[in-house]
Amino acid sequence: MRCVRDGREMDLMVVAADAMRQDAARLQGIAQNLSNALTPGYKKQVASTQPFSAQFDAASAAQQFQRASAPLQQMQLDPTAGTLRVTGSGSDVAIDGEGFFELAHPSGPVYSRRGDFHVDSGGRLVGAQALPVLGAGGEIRLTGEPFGISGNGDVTQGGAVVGKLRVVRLARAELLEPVGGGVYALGGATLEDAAVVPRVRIGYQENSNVDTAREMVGMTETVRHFESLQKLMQGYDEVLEKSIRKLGEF
Amino acid sequence: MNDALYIAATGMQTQQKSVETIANNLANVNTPGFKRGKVSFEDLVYRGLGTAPQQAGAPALWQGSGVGIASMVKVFAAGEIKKTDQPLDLAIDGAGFVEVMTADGTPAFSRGGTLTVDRDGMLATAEGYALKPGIHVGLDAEQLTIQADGRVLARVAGQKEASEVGRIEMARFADTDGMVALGANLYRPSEKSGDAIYGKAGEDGMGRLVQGAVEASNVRLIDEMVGLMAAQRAYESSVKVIQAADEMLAMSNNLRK
Repeated sequence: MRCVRDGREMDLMVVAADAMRQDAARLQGIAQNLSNALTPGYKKQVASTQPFSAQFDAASAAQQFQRASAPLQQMQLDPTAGTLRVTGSGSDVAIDGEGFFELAHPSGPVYSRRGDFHVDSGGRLVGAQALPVLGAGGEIRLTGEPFGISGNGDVTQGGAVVGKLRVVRLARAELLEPVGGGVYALGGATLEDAAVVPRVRIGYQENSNVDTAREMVGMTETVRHFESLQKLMQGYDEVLEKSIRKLGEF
Repeated sequence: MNDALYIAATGMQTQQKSVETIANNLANVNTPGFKRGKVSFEDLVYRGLGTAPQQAGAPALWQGSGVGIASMVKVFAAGEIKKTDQPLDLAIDGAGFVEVMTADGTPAFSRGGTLTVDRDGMLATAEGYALKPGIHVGLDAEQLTIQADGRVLARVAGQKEASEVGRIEMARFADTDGMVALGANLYRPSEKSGDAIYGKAGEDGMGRLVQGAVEASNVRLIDEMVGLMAAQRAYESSVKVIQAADEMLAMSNNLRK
């Protein structure tokens, strides 16, 4: 079997270089996760590399070769809940269990697990990136009075319920596309019809779900993998050098 | 791989800011009326990799660009109200503020503290900023009473009865956390906090005034120490990433011996 890429014969060097690029991208993912180890509501990203055979099969099925400009890695989120941290602030809300808050982004609804809400100067309840939180009946409007949120998502002001937080359930939440600022666009995930009955904890904030120990292990692995590829390339280079020298002796 | 370096650098920068805020909080643990600072983080923008538009079901390709500071705010949670029995000490038991006039004429808002009577006989903060609306106590006042609802009574030497000399007005804000700290227990409203809503002490959630007491700093030592440890470790992990990225770069450079 001959594999041809870029019109060249698939060469060990090319395979190794591709793998090294993938390691570099993996390290970027680890850097992203570790730098967000303390970002509330952050969901860690996991890169899964497609095995070469899968890429090759897909490409030969399509009868064409695709040259990816970047390593073929599938980026996914790990939507598992983070641990909770007590903040004691009545406007910090953490979702107990599954689901996401829905926020109104100019380019469409976005989803977030980040619940450090406050009231903006226009009187709307806003969450991550100061985007309005979508409640059961759209945006939640408040007056300047102090407000409270109860465990079932009721937003109260002056003893009266003025809105209700909505918690939506997403299928395949790992395919959400991060926008930044703790919010995620739908991406490949789909919205399930049935909204979750909100169950929130007041005075708590959800921690980032990054496991630093695991990231460190991943980092060590990546660096060593990279190192072994480097050795491989150096070894192959030596082989080439030797064969060229031997051939030159003729 | 260079990206890993820069991503990790954002982690170091934000943790540095976090440690600076913690240092300021710890330094002010005994400052009356001090409100602790809080830094909150957010993940920065993501960029898609590859140029082809994404097809449904195609592998998602994106890469984050690190962490940034979402906001640096003051947390206005109430501090403990400590009795001092000094007639000029004033604490606010509630969310409100007292308006004062700063040197440049712009209004600022105070959470109380130790008041003075300035040389014009006006009630002012310890730094000499007169309260707004002005309350003329007079330089010969012997006894000053500030009532919970804001009324100020002064008894002038030779008089038997104290008479009302003014009333302290209160103000509060839609989003108190959006206020900008000016130092010296003074805050300025911002676009985020909205304009001042005026009212009387003890009404509309303004809080009541407590004479002879000061509000203690709301810094909680344990929280700060835990935050400090977390920040230090997060900083450390970013440093490790930088070392790893550097190692990998060195290895790339050594591909050709």
